[in-house]
Parts: sequence; structure tokens; C-alpha cells
Amino acid sequence: MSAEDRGSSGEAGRPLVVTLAGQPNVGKSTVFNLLTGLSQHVGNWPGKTVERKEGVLVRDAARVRIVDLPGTYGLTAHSAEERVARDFLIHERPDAVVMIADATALERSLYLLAELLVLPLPVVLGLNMMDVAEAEGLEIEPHVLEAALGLPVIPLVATRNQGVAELVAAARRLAREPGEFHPQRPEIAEPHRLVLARVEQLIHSRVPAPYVESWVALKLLEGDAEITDMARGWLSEADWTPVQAVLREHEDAVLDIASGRYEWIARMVRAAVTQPRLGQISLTERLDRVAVHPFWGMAMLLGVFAAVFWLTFGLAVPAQQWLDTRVVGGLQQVLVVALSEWPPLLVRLVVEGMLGGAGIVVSFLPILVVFFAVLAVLEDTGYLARAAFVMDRFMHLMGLHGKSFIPLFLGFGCNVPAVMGARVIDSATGRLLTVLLAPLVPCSARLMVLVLLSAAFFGKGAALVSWALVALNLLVLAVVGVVLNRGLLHGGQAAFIMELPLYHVPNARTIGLFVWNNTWAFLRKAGSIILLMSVVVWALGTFPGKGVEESYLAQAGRYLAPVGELLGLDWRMLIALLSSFIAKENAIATLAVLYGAQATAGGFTAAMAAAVSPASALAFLTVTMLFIPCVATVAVIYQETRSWRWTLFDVALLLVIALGAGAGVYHAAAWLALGVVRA
Amino acid sequence: MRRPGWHWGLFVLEAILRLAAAQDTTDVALVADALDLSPALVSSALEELTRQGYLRVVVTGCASPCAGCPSRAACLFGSSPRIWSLTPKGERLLAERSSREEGMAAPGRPTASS
Repeated sequence: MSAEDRGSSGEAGRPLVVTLAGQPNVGKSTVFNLLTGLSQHVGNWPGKTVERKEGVLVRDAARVRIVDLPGTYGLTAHSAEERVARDFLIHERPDAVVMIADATALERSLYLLAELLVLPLPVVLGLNMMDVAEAEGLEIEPHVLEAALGLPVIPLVATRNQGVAELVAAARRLAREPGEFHPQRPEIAEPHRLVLARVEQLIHSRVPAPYVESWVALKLLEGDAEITDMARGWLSEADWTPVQAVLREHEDAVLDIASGRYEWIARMVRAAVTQPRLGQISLTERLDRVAVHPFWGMAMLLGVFAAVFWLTFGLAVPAQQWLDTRVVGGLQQVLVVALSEWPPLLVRLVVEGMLGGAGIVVSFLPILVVFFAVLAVLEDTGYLARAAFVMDRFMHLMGLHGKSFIPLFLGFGCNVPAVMGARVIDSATGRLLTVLLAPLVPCSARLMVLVLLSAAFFGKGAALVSWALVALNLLVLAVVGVVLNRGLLHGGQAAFIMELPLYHVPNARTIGLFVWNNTWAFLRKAGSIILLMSVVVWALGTFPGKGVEESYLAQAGRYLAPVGELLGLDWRMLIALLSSFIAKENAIATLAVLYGAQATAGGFTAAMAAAVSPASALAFLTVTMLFIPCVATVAVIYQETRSWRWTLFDVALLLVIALGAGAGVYHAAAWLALGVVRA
Repeated sequence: MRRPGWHWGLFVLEAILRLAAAQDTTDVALVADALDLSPALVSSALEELTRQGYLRVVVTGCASPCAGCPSRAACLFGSSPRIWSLTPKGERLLAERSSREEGMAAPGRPTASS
């Protein structure tokens, strides 16, 4: 048939068949709708649940049948969509294939083209979203790409119907003159090129039409399950045995086949695409030169933590003090008068127990809101991923490789998923080490308590103290990790590749939702567990009724006096530490209830400053930061290790570390003359 | 991180696997820089290696989807980045190729000591 005869038809008597191919989300459907309009009909591919779309384009009085293939990343039978796409291409042999690519993601899009070019079908490449590419600063030269690829390349903006007519013209031209199609195809690496030739030789003249021997040989080397099963049926047992032997010996050939495609893609893109030097990508590169640097990244991380605390205390502490003294304190005075008809004990329960405990916790809401907002900004900008990455590199410097990454990544939020993060590690020792270390990551609950109590204990010095304690936490995490890894577990090593997100402007709605969710969760906890704990602590601290120093709680607390002496903590603070095991915020409520009798005009913070020395406060906070965060973490440690021995070992290990560090901090601070109450 | 004499040539995917197996957590940008590729190409290659079973996407250990997670309010990483690690299949491949290289010198093929 002459080219002229093929002007309006493929083989004699039938319209031209043009197939649209492309990866998902490249705008293929937009092109299909533009070409077929109302003539399209939608059904399913025979025997499949995959949608099939077809339509007719009438151009220059000629009818062209347009078939829209499902979006696929390649043509290996990994999915039903890929099988449907390649079955159609092989069995139906369209006159031309129009592959739509996303111009902003050309490297990803061209992988499908690399697979298409192996089939003996003419292909036209439509580069869609050229407007978006231009907006992102990408300079793509379609004519250069066309020369490099050896096939027509048409720039498109399908949403504006730009380039679509040229695309159709190129496809019709190629369908009429398939002899003009001379693409530059990807090559397979040299060692496996000979193996490919060998497989082709072994299956020669045994591959039925419409399958092509060279394509079948390539798919066999790639380990394509469907083609392998079919080939086994085409060949006799005697003929299949040597093929199978070659394939078994070269199971890794698929790696070199795919590598050849990627090398081809890199060459094509390098020739025709100029990446932007300004904008989001290069901003990320520039910032990451510092943010992920082994030394400067760590310095930046510590600086960011310092800024977080400085902002939190600077903006929110005045509001907290106002709430504490004017609102909570004022409400207490009002209730004393309003409830004067009630039994005195009940009034004290409400005023000192409930309001004194849970109410004080709620007064810290401004600090929480600012703290969560700052954290959310860090996460939404993409910085927190860098923080975890830098910590991991720091751990490497200490001799701890790779295992720390996942729990660190998650532990900044909550230690429960951090412990569960150990599941991703293959080795048993690696999993165990991760589980044991995860509770040392300063989770958001501990950071929040640190923020609240630092404000109560240290006033204007709170930011510096908070920063120093977080740095101490991270240092202890690294040291303990090295000791456990080398001394106890002799762990192996694991590594990861991660895709750090681009930096971007934080989204106000995302931040607002995060702050709202966390604040609401805090208020719910304040209204339940913390309120209950406040009542229990008040009751145990009141009865048998001879004053708080003679209460049941004081008697219990005095049994812990030796520990208290070591840490510079009186029985009240020890009880507060114990209560924090249920929920960290309980420490605040407990302190508020037990120190409430010494309440001053300055509220809770003034009462704490009057009763607790800086050295004792430092010791208290150190123990809070280093001990097991909560009972939920202990439960999940047992769940992951299935061993009470290791669970109790971890609890004991962290208790020893916390008490040791607390004692060390107390005595060092006392030596520096910080052991006197500043009242 | 760029290693002189590392001629990855046609062996992009093997080079990426070797970097994934190195005793150091790294990120896509650093891999791209080491291999003189674009980050987008490296990301695409990582997806291909995952499809072939040499790498796996590391689920961050969470057993349940975010919607049903009780820690969701406190979780800072609702949009955690992708993380890949080498699978046993990937480790076997590299071990086989390393022992094959010790048996012969293949010009243009990256070696563990490159």
C-alpha cells in the first residue's frame, strides 16, 4: 500500500488507529477528550476491570480511531493496566503511538518511551504542561530533543488546546510513512548484550506472531512472569531448558537493562533540558548545604531549638502569667466566696484540687499554642526532616549507624510510633537497639512539660535552660546508643536513602489545624486524666487532715527520701515525678496541688520559685527529660520485644540514667551556688 | 561524596544500590550529586529498583493509617518523606557482583573500592 493510500486508512479499508499512551497524571485524558469530544465511548477491556476509552477523530475528511490506553509507568506486567496496554500494542499494532509526557517530570516520563521504542511501532512524543515547565524555569528545547531521540517531539499545553493539532498531524504523517521512523533506542550494557543475543538465538522461529522475538527475548531477560509462562508454552521442554539455564544465570540482567534506559534518559534530558538555577530547587540546595552539613547542620539544629524556646517563652509567658494570677487565681477567690455555703472540704476540693491542679495546667495554654505553632512551621517548611537527618549523621560520628534514623524521625512527635519504627529493621539486634533507644528521643509531650516547667522555675532564663536540657538529651541518646551498640549488642549496620522534601512556604491552614488538634487534645486530657489525678493527689495530700506535711502522700513520699536527697528533691517533687509516668502533664498538676498551700500573689510560677531552688528545678527537669516518657511507651516496648526482661531492662536503664544525670546536675548546680531558693 | 574513578557508565542502578548499601544514611540530592544525575532521575530510578524488589520503601513503623492513629494529634510527620532501604535481594545481588568483580576486571563497571 502506498503512502497516499494510507492517508486516510491504515491497512486497506480500516481507519488509522492512533493510540494514546503515557504515565498517569500527564494530561493524556485531556488530549483524548480534545481529540474525540462526544464521539468517545467508555467500557472495560475484555476480561478486565480496567477502563477502556475509544473515540473517533475526523480530520480532513479522514477518520482516525483514537484509543486511550490506561496510564502506565512501563510495559512490564507489574499491573493489570500494564498488561492491558502492552497486549493492545502487540496484538492490535496501531498505526502510530502518541506518547504524552509531563514536561516538568521528563526523566520519569521518558522511561515509558524507552519501553515503547523496543516495539516496532512508530511513536510521536507530546510534551505536555509546557506552560508549567516554563513557569518553573525549565528550558526545554523540543527540536533538540527531537534530534536526539530521532522521533517527532511536539510541545503541548493541552489545557489550552495548544499543540494538539500539530500532534495529530505528526502522528498521521508518521502512520503514513513508518519507514521514516528511526529512533535512538536505549542500549543494554555490553555483557548482557551478548546474553540477549544468545536468548534470541535460542527462541528463534519459535515465537508466534504478533510477538516480536527481540522484544520477547528482552522481556525474558527482565524476568517478566507473563512472557516467561507464554514462552515456556511455545518451546518444547528440550528447547526451553537451555533458555531457562541462561535466565537463571543472569537473573540480575534486569538491572542492566533498566540502567541502560536510565543512562539513555539522562543523555536525552541533558541535551535538551536546562534546569532552573533560581527558584525552589536551587533554594533547597543552597539551604541544605548548611542544614544537612555534618557540623553546621548540627549547629543549625541546636540554634533552631534555641529559637523555638526563645519564641515560645518570649511571646507566651506574659500571657500565661496573666492567666495564672488573674484568671485561675481570681476564679479561686470568687469560688471561695460563692461556695461559702458548701462544706469546707468540698470547697477545698474544687478550689485547691480541681482548679489548683487542672486549672493551672490550662493556664499554660498560651505557651502550648506558641510552641505547637513553631513546631508546625518547622515541619511544614520541611526542616524537621533535615533535623532527623542531621541527628542520624551525628550518631554516625559516634559510631552508631543508620538504625537511629526512623525512631529519631518519629520520636520528635511521640515515642510510641518511634518504638514501633523498629519494625523496619531486618536484624533482631538492630530492632532491639532501636526499641531501647527510642524513649530517649525528646518527644513533644516531654518538650511541652519542659517548656511549661522551665517557665515556672526559671522565668527569663527558661529558654536557655530548655535548650541546654534538649542538647543534653540528644547527647545522652548518642552516648547510650554507642555503648549499647558496641558493648552489649554488637549490632550490625543498616543504611537508608531518603528523599528530603523541598523547602516551601508553610501553609497557614496546616499549621492552624496542627495547633488546634494538639491544643484540643491537651484540653481533653486536662479535663480527664489530669483532672482526675489532681483530685487524687489533693485527696491523698489532704487526708488524714492534719496538714499536707502529715498527709498520706507525704508519708509515702518520705519513703523515697534517700532518692530525694540524691537529687535535691523534696517529697512533693518526687510524687510529681511518679505521677508523670501516667501522663507527663500530671507533673504540673501535682506540683500545683502540693505547692498550692504556699500560693502567692504571683501565682503558681511565683510559688514554685519561692519553694524550689534552681538546682532542684534543674534536677527535676533532667529526670523528666531522660526517664521513660509514659506508661504507653512501656506497653509498646513490651509489645515489640515480647520480653519482660528487655522491657524491664530498658526501664531500669533509663531510671539509672535519669537519676544519675539528675543527681549530677543537682550537685553541679549546687556547687555553682544555685542550690538556694530565690525567694 | 563524589568518588574519583567511579565510572558508572551504563550501571546507574547498580551504583545507586551500592550507595544504598554504604554504611551511611544519605538523601536523594547527595546521591544525584555523586552520580552527576538530576534528583528527579534518581527518584525515578529508586522507584524502579523498588518495583524490581532490590529496594523497599520503609514504612515508618506505624501499624495503622493516620486516620485511625491515637497519636495523630501529636505526630509531627503526617507528610513524612519517602525512605528506602536495601532488601535481601538487593544485598545478594551486590554480593554476587562483588565476588564476580574479584574474579575478573570489568572496564567501566563500578567497584566497591572505586
